[in-house]
Amino acid sequence: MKRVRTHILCGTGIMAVSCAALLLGCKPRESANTVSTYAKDFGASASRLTTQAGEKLGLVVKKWDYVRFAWEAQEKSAELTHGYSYADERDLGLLLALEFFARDGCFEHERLNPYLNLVAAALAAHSERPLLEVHVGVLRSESLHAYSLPGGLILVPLGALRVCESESELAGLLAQAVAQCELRLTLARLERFAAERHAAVKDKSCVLLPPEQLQALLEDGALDLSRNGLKAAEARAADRRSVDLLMRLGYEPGGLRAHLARVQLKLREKVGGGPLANYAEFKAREETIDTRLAELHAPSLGRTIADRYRRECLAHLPAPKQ
Amino acid sequence: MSTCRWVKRLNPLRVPWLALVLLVLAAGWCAAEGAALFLRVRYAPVRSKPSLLDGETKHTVLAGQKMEVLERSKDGAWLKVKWSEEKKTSEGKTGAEKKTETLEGWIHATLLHTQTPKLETTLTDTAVPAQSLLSRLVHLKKSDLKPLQTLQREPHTNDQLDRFLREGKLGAYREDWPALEGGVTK
Repeated sequence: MKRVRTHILCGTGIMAVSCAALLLGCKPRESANTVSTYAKDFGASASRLTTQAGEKLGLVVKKWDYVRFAWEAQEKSAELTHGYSYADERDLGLLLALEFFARDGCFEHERLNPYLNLVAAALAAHSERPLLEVHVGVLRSESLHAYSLPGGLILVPLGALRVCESESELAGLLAQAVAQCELRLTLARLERFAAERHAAVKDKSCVLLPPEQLQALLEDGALDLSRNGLKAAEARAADRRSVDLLMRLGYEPGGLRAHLARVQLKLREKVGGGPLANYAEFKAREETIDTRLAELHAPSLGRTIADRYRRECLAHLPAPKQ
Repeated sequence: MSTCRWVKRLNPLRVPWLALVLLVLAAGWCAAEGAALFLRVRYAPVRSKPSLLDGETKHTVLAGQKMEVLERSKDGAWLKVKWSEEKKTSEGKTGAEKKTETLEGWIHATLLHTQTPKLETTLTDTAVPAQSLLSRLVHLKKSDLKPLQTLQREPHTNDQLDRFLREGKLGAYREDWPALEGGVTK
């Protein structure tokens, strides 16, 4: 009888242990769910604020909100495109960068490079991949277009830096590149390029190619990128995102538009050119920027910051090649 | 000796219950540990009041900061949090003296998570791993990779980024911040 009672008690003990283990396992998941429920609720209340409060008070209301964006950011940063790991993405970017550096050469300055990295990092922190580490390199080239490579690598030619006249314009240029990183446009382009050439990599990562084929692909990919740039629709998508980034960070949102206008002027003078020379869609891009600015009711509150740009960037640029 | 006697006196029928009580206590302790939350974005403002429009930004916290929840706002969207930060006070004889300071403020619940954020691997960590793409391209010499050093350097510290934003009155330091945080402005 005593033995039976002991068995019953042991059984109860085991059940209690499993219940405790279950409770232990559920606890963190519950709190994670609670956090995301708040996020959803907040999102709903924020959208109500933009319509009702705005109409009642007759005031201009911002349509984006920083907190909701920050919540979404974490979800999206965890995603990977087509099975690329972050290291793969970064390696592809580095290999493409090698092609650009081999062709144009690399420019380094102890004050200029950290400054460019800070502007890009501040923009990236406000993007939807806030934990992405952005690195900016400078090309010894008079091209007017910044290249965004996979894995958060950005290459800016000296010519593009010379065109800018303030930090907000530089931020416009870099915001375009950060937006391309965020949307993984170059990676997608490289994938398409690989799929056209090698049927074996269709719907798979081009990282799987044998070394020789991959090397050839990257060489041609870099050439294609510098000659043709992005598709017009892709550039417009990046423009829309970059206006958001500039607004979130507090730069004058018109900086991007001003930069585009200066590039057009330079192209008319036939200096450099690069992929932008092939774009007949300057007007369409400007319209896209204007539409986004109108959607956001963007006021001219942002900073232009010309002094710091002259001090930290323009002062260190070498004289252009004749 | 006395411990052995205590063990002998212990009623065997009570042992499972004692184990159960201990387990429940352990579970409670673990649950309390789980209540600690971490900042899930690169940096975020901590405000003096649970509102985007009222109050001001008191502190800025960085990604991965562990925080303890003190209370929740009525609508549940804001959390009053406490965390400790090490601050250099002065250069003493034995070098820089550090002081741990406990800070408090309101932060939006969406910015916190129960797990530490997975920082995307830094380039310095993955410079040339054994099976990486770079190492697979066998014809590449070390000198070929030299220009990449410009893209591999640690670009900045969090303090430098903070100073940069403060100087330019950007990000959390912009004067119009409360109005632009999804709020209303003329």
